[in-house]
This record gives sequence, structure tokens and C-alpha cells, in this order.
Amino acid sequence: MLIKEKSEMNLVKKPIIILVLRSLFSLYFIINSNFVIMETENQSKIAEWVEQYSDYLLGFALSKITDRNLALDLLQDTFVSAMKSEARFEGRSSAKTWLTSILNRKIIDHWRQQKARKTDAVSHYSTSSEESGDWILEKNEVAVETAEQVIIKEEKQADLHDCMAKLPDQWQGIITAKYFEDKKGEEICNEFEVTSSNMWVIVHRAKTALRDCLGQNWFS
Amino acid sequence: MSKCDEIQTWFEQSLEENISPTKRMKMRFHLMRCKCCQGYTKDSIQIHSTFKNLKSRASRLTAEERARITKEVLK
Repeated sequence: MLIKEKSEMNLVKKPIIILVLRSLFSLYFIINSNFVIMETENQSKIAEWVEQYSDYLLGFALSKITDRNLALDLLQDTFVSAMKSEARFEGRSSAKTWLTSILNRKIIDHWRQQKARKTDAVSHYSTSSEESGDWILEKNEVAVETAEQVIIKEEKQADLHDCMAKLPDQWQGIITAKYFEDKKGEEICNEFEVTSSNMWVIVHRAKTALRDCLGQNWFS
Repeated sequence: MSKCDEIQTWFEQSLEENISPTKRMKMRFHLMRCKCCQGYTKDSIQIHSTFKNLKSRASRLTAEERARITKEVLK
């Protein structure tokens, strides 16, 4: 009697276990495929951003640092960081602004590293007869000077870039068209609906405003 | 527009295009005696050259560079 009951119980249990296992498997596949879809979506979004914003971001990086290869490396790092933290991007600002802020942080980190390296000292073990057996600590003067010059140049360009951003839109547009896009005077006048003499007055006023914004130290 | 503003505007124009000989003469005479405008022209040239420098480096990514970045990012 008991044996019969046991075998009946087993007959009931088996389909339930199979059912549970089946649902677990299907749940696993659903979750897994969702992750795959999300990852693919994420990758295609980042690829789209590379296509859309890399030129702008390269220009931004090059306005602050002189080395093109370094700018490309920082650009790459920016997209890698964006890929990693894409989930945290809430969309409150545009993707362009978000990527620019990541790149800006990377540039600042680079400057910090450069400044730290500037103060690095070179130590070596002296083998000369006078100081034999002493550790000599000396500053690498040539390297320091070069790094300093580069930093100053980069900072000056960054200052100019920041000051330009403070100009009124029309002035900024005229300066950009004139000095960065190589547009001819007539073209600029048509685009901004100003006369030729007005355009030169605006160029003069924009440069005066830049001069005030940059301060005397920038020019020394 | 004050005399200095006018001269400085002419100076800006002269950096990019030809200005009339009369304007050029007036500008030169003024620049000889006006310290303020001398300072402006010096600073303006520096800003101008920094613009040129910035422009020369502001270029687009090549197709190879773009492909490399995309590949590295999606790796």
C-alpha cells in the first residue's frame, strides 16, 4: 500500500520538477538575451556617438593640448569611459555635452600629471672619481623647461577658448567663421547680415573683449 | 567711435585685406604716438597668431583613426 502511494507521489512530482526546470531555463534565456540586446544597443549607440561627435571632440581636445596623438588617445579613453558608464547617463544634458565633460576631465588629469612630472627629479648613481659611490639627485632642467613651455602654451590656448565662449553669439560666430572656417568677408557679411565695416568693428570689439577677459598675464 | 577705436578697427582690417593708402597713412601716424593703440596692436597680433595656431590643429579624424577608435572602444 505504502509503496503504491510513494510511486503515485513520484508520478505527480516528476512533471512539476520538469516544469520548474523548464521555467528556470526559459527565465535564464530571457534575461541573458535581454542583456545581449542591451549590450548590442549600447555598442551601437557608442559607435553612433563616435561617428557623430569625434570630430567636435578632437577639435575641443586640440584647443587645449598640442599633441594630436595624445588628443586621439584621450578621445579614445573618453569613449571607453562613456561605454562603461553609459547606464549612468540620465539624458539631462545632450550626449555631446556629457562626452565633452568627460573629455575635459581627462584633459585636466593629463595636465595634473604633466605638472607633477615637471617637478620630477632624476637620480643616478655617480661613478666619477670625485663623487664616487654617491647617489646624485639633480633636476632634469631641459625636460622641465620643455614641459613648462608646453603647459603654458596649452593653458593659453585653453584660456582663449574659454574667453571666446563668453562672447556674444554673433561675435563668436563671426570670429569662428573668420579665423577657423576661413570664410571670406562677403560670405560672413551675408551670413550674419552685417556690412563690411560693421564686421570689422565687431572683430575689433571681440578682440578687445578677449583682451580684457584674458588679462595682462596672458600676453606677457 | 573714438579715434583709437577707429584706428584699431582699421588695424584689424589691415591684417586681413588691403586698406586705402590714406587710411594706412593716418593709422601709421596715429600708431607712432599712441601708446594705447600700440599695446592693442601688439596684443591683437598675439591673439591672431594663437587663433591661427588653434585653427591649424583643429582638423577632422581620418577614416583610419575613426575606425581604430571604434574598434578599441567596442573591444
